[in-house]
Amino acid sequence: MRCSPGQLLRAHCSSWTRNGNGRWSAAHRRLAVIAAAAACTVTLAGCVTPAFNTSSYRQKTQESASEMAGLVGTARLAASAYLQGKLYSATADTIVSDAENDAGDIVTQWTSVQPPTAQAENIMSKAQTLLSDTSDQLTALRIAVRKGDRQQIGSLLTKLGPAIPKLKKLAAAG
Amino acid sequence: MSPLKLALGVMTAIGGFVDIGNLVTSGITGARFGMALTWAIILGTVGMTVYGEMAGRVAAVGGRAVFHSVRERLGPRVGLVNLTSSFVLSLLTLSAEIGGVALVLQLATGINYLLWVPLVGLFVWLVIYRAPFMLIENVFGMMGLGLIIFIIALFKLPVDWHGLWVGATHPWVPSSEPHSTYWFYAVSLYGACLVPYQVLFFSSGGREESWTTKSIPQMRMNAVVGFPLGGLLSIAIMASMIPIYSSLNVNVSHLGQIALPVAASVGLVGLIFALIGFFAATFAAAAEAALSAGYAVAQFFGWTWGKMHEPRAAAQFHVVCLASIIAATGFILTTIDPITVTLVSVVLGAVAIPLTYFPVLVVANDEEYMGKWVNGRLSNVLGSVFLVIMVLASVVTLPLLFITKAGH
Repeated sequence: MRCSPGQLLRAHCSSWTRNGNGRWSAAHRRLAVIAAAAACTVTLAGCVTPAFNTSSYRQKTQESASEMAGLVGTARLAASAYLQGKLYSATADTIVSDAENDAGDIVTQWTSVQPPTAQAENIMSKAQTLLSDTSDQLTALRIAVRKGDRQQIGSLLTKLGPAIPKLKKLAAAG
Repeated sequence: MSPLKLALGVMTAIGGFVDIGNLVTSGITGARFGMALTWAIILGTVGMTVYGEMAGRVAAVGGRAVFHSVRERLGPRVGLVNLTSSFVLSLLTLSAEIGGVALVLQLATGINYLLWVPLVGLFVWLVIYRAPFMLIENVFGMMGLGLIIFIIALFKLPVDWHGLWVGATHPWVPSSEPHSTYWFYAVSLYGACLVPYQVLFFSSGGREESWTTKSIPQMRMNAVVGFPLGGLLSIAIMASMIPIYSSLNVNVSHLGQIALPVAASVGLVGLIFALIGFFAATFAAAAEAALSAGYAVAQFFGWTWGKMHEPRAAAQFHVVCLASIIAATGFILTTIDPITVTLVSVVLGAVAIPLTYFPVLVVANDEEYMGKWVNGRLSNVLGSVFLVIMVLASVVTLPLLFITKAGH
């Protein structure tokens, strides 16, 4: 038998005790399973929670910048190793593509957080260009690696170099 | 016993010890915590050695694989709970390993891993259905030795050996990390070394190879020498992340990142060895996890099981293996991240470890079965200490999983 959410809720409110034979009702058990599954999904998915004040927004920005710096570092290492003939193009492409995808996720998640105060908006305007530009440069690097365009890879490595200290500075200061 | 056979067994045990769980957890923790969690690998490896030896002895002397003991000692009802948890974990591990093989193939070819997943599932089934047991154990175990390249890479990387030693011997929580995350990854490293399918496979493999008391010295060498050397490989993977990633604050979350330090230090040859090692370790573990799912169900219900029988004679066992492979392949095809599945499987494995290991300890103490091979004082002290640790870890694991959002 299937229960609607309304039926489950009524069952939940009317009898939060065991029934006559000392067992939990089927509705209770289903409700518990649904609640546990929902809790697990939300917790394990690592969903982005809203920022309620400037400090929390700053912290999210710092975390995003720190993760982005790590991704740029990984992508630069892979691209350099490819240029030095230490990585196959397929392997370099996979590593740089993974970094690019993760960078895109970071930017999407960070921009989805509403800045709660005017101060937080200032932080956003300072960080947005750096995070988005870095993500775009990783996309350009992936394209160059996939094409095997060594000159373009070299040029992008030079461009991405200064991004790491800037991102680290943002991660430290917010 | 010939020294060649002895060496082959030990090398197989070394290569077979490492799977996707060890690769991922060692890579993540090395980049994030340095050597501060080395103790968790050592603890898990010693636990695996103690219980692997015990399970192997029970298989050789008592003629009983793990799930015979589970049903016999815990009864059908509690045993069924045990079987369910073990089976689900084997499925989760199998999913992670199939995903891992597909990720390795993506690294080698550039073709998206999801396209490889069905082929990997098919190949795992073909190997289980057609290939002899010794081939699964020995060929992939030997290929897994390709991971030794991580030890070689350590000598080519700019390693601060004193820093590594200090990190390993002073296991403090880094100031940048919360205590809960540190303990979450400690449990994941420990769980990756003690995954229940490994002891299930080790003891059932003993029956497949018709171990007797004469096989005990070989079995002991595999467990006492092979497993710790496998643990050493995990530590080498952890250490090789540090010179490359620690200054960049990289969060390792992809298999390619784990291979990168080897490529950067040793070059293309190193990369090839690393990829062969990754492939062998994950593929062998996929086959072992699928077989373990079949072993657990068939042993519990008293069906004919094992590759020592023709598939027709052990049809139910082979159906369970096939169904497990199909389910695991389908699960990874949902596009769930195999690395996340790996982390969750090793952590949930840590919850279920006592359920699998406790019956082994009980049977290994039964003089009726074991005769003069019954547990000695050392085995019992170590077994009991580890059982307490396993229970403690299983109690804290789920809260840590939720508090840290699976280590984020």
